[in-house]
Amino acid sequence: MNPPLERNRKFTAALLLAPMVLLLLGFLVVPVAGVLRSSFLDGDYLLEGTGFTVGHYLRFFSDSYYSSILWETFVDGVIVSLICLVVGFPTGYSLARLPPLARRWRTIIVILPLTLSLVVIVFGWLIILGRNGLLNSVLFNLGIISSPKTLLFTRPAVILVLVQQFLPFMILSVLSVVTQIDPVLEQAASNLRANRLVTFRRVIIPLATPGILVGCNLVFVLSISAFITPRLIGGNRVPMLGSLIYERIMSEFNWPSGAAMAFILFVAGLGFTAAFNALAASRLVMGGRLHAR
Amino acid sequence: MIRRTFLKLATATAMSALAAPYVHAQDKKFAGVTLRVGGWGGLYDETIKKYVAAPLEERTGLKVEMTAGTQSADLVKMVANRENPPYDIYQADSAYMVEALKADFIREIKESDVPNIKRILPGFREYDEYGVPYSVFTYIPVFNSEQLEKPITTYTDLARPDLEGKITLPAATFDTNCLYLLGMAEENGGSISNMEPAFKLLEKAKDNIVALGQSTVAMIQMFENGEVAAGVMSDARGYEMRAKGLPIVSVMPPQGIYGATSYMNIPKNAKNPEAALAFLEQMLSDEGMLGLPRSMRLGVTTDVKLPEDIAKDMTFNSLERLALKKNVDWEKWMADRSSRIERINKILRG
Repeated sequence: MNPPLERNRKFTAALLLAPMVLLLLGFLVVPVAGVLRSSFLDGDYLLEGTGFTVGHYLRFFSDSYYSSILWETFVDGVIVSLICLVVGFPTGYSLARLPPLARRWRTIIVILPLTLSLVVIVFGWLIILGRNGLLNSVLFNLGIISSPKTLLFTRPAVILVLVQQFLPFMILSVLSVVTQIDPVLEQAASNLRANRLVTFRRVIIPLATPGILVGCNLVFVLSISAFITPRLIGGNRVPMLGSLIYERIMSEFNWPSGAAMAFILFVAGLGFTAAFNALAASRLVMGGRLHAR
Repeated sequence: MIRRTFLKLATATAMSALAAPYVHAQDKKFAGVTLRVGGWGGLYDETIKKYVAAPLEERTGLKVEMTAGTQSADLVKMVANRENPPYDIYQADSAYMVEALKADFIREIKESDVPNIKRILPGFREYDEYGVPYSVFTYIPVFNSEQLEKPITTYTDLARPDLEGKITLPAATFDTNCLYLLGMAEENGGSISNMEPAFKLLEKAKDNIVALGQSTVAMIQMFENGEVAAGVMSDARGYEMRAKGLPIVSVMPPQGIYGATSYMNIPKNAKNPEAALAFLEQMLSDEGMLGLPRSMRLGVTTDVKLPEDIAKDMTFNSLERLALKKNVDWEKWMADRSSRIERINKILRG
């Protein structure tokens, strides 16, 4: 490409990226830097701390209570992501294979829960999972249980509600990628005598991996930072780091400690997703090479 | 001539009719002023609007805008906007008054500013001339009499083995609501400086606790849905559940009960301090003071006479009942909040 054209292309790209870069700089990088700075303040009340200390970080890692909550938060995030993947992939795939008009309407139905307030959704679940709620009534009438069970305020209940909240993100991520996979590829695999399972494993999954990765990342990040659901559905019996951070900042006014916990969650979440993506990408490349042989 | 006189008279009458509301509004002291009050939502705010804001608007033209929130979130807003506070009136209970004073954003309010202050009963102005106390409430054990065979009589009873999987307690972050812990401590030889007996009891009660309520509304729902049969609630919420037909009994532990006072404050840099003072004066008037007892059976802080039909449902309905209310060292209570919250969380998790 000739140099003036190349310069022009770079300039256009920079111009197109500028609004997003400025937005991220102003509303992500600067606040995160502020949180980072606050986390090193030597104090335990609002932002009145001064100086520099790593005490908040040391306290977090030296107390097994906090590190165990961090661990459980990540485990919950992984479980929610996996359930969303198992439930969301077939839905996303089937939507992608529908004619455009039918797909549009069904996609709207998938998106619909996202338009509701989270508090409304959570209160809906409180009614469904309550001792006198719908689920207990159904189980009781079917003779599965002899008396109403406590379904709320348990870890499975928190995971169930998180799955319901974040499932649309997985479905939409898978849908957007699978629609790009030409159905002819599946027919070609079939002509080569690959059964449906082999086609799914060797053709669909590798090609849909970018969508799966995006979906998993989104669901995982949203799950580990959730704080309303663990508080209301978990009733403080199912602590997650997000709700602990909220408590530390909004109730205890201990902003430096809350900032340290938020930054730990940020870095750990970033590290985990980066490692997961790197691993998934390398597997994909390796898988591609094997298939190429 | 007659026609001219008629036209003059008609014009004068029409002008008067058109100008009347404007002239009338100008007579009102706070016409065109909007007072911003940090509210607590629901029936509480509705009551204050009905018995304080509405009569004041009628008399002075003052418009009152109440924004529902929580005192902790409002405190953060006030601290973050000291120079231009979001409210002209900030509400706090006894515990949060410590935080508001520590953050140093509220001003003193003297009797010369609000004459009705002289009607406040002794002991209610806990912070010298800061804050105007307008309501008193308590957190006491409550239980569903149809679901428990043996009644609860003390805070300590909440740890009884027969209550396994049957109780709810307020979340650890609600400082005033957590006074039940002080009750547990003092009933078992402890004190505000020695809360160990309470924590040991909480450890024993761990399996009894279904959930910690994130709000009183959530706790009421737990009672309504049959999730729990006992817990610790404010006296007002106990009354609310009884009014809904639930067989809820509020317990008065013989060793004393723990309550707090609600205060209204004016920020140092409030936009409308004069109007805020008028609001406080109306709050402490008989009309304003009887609003919350009427709607929620909350206690009063002045010498206002309580109607019999309301008083019978109130916890603090006489000076003798008020004497049951134990004094709390709020500074100490709030100084220990972080360690208390962490301890409760750890006990319930462990």
